[in-house]
Amino acid sequence: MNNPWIHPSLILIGGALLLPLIPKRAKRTFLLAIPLLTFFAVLLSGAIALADAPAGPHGVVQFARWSLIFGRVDGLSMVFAIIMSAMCFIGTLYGLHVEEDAQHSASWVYVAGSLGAIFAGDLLTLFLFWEVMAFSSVFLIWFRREPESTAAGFRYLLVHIAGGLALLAGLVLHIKATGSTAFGEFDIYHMSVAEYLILIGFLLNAAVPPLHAWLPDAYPAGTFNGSVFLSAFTTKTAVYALCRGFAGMHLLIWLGVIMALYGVVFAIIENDIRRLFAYHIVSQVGYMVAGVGIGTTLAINGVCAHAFCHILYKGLLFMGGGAVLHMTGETRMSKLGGLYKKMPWTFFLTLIGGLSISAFPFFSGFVSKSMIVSAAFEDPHLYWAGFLLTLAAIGTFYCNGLKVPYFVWFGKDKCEPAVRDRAGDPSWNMLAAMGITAGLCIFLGCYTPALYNLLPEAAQAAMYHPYNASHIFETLQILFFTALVFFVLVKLKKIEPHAGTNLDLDWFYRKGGQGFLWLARKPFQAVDTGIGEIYRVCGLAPLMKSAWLVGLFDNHVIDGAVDGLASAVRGLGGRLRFAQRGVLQENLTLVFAAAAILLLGFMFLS
Amino acid sequence: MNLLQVIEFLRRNLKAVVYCCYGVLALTVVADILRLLDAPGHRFSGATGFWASLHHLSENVPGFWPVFGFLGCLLLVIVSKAIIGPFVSKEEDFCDE
Repeated sequence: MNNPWIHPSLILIGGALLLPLIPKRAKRTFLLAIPLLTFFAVLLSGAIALADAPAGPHGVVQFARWSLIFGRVDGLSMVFAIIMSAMCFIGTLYGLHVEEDAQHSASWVYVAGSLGAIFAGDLLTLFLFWEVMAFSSVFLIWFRREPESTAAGFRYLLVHIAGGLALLAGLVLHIKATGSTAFGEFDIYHMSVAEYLILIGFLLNAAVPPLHAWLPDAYPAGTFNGSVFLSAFTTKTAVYALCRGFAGMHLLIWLGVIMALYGVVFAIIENDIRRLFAYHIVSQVGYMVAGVGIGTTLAINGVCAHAFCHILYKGLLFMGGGAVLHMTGETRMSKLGGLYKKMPWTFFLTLIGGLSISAFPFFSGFVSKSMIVSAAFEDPHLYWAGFLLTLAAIGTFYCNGLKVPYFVWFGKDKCEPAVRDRAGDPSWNMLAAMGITAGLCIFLGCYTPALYNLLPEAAQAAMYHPYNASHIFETLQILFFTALVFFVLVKLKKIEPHAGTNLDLDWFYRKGGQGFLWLARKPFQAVDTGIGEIYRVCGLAPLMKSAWLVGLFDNHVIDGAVDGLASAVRGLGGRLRFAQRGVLQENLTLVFAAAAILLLGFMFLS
Repeated sequence: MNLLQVIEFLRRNLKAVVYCCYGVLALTVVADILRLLDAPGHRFSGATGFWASLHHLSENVPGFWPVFGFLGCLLLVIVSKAIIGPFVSKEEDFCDE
């Protein structure tokens, strides 16, 4: 018999619903209490699962002829759930002074979706929470309330709905083929269309090229604190799902290595610091995807460890970028510089995040990234992956450890006077959130058992020792010589950040949207003009011969038809324009709901 | 102590800081030589232990990782800035058109 179990997501969703009712005096206490409660509920879940070990999953609900499993609590889900709930507390603390309740509610529902997906034991529950994440996270972008954020939010939603539909179609086909809703390892050696569709759904959320462009498009457009949440949950939940379903699939090694380098290359030419950090999410998740592809015990441990550390240091970097945005209103390096006098603590804490992501010894990335790289070096067939991932690590240090700290806080002061006047270290809660995260980054880097004991194969992880003389010296050699190149290039003035945006694959759907508008306008207009032309050419000659007859025909028939067509086209064009602007969100929801109902109906009936 | 004062102190003594960095740079290379002198028996081993290496190449080729770091960084910057950059870089308001 199982002990009673409370789903941690319920606490967050309940908190999100209650939040507007909480009096102003108690608001901040409440804001901190709910994520803390959630964190303890996650820890409690682990304890309960341990106590009930042979009894099977918790939170099993019968729904029609399927049993939905809300509480599969095991080693793999626990390590992700712990760090997700911890990040929820840090992110809420960071945005504690934000007055608008809806922003906190949106981020909590987002985290609830992530925790729900992580604890989901069957595909239907996974899908439910997967979509909760997409539909709640988009508000973290819209709440920025800039025109660019509204547009980016729509693109984000559009892409995630496409991914969600691929996942839904895949899981419907999979359930029909196998008769089982269980979410476990898929048969990676005999993949059918169903499994590939599920894989596409996962890969899209993990931002694997060419399905990645939504991430660097949307994350820099979020609110200063919303992006801290965004940076943590969507991609790492997808990494969890990949770990669970597709471990050992060799295709993922290729994709992961490409990702790691792709993110680095685009980050090197990026000017906006938050977009640069976003590209490094792509790059770092590349390590994890490659690790999932390698699939050995060391690799999977490495993936979990790296996701754990990554959520913290990437959150810290986004908090640093968010602080710069919040305090100065500017995130482009071509318009920043020399801010160390005004924001020394922001600099210091962001630098810790930069050193952690760069896998500097005694920072968290060092103990996690090296597990994945070592896993690649274990197999002579995968040396190439090991070397390419090490190459990506160079770019990571170059951008996060050198370029951003140097060009934002040192270098030439290129700030507008208004920006310089506004600059300063942020409020206590933002600094506290950054301080806690920075402390954790160093703690995890120095005291490895803290992290390694949480990993799914803890006994194996305990045998891995990142701290030996060679590893430390090799890492330092790579990093210091990267720094040497950086400062030589700075001296030669070769890498001054300059204004400009970089096209990525989001170009296709940006242009796709414009193409649709063009299609709506131009061909209809062409038909209209064409008929007018036919009428002019063919209508005039007979007119000469039988003016009266044609005149009658012309006046009464063709004119009427053309006018009618023209006004119909105008009307249609106007409605299409309207659909493009006003009610797109509604349309998307409707289309999505219709597709979901159709597919679920199909499942019920068949 | 005030963090800002520490940063300003380091900036005032930038020369010394830079020389310290060169020192560390040299030290990391010296470590390679030490390893070759100290642990010749561990060559080709890929073994665990004090000198266990990320990859056996570095055990056999002294200075492998420094060169890897130096050339790798140059390669990444050149590929990004000179080859990829011109293709994808556009004016800031490009997407608004």
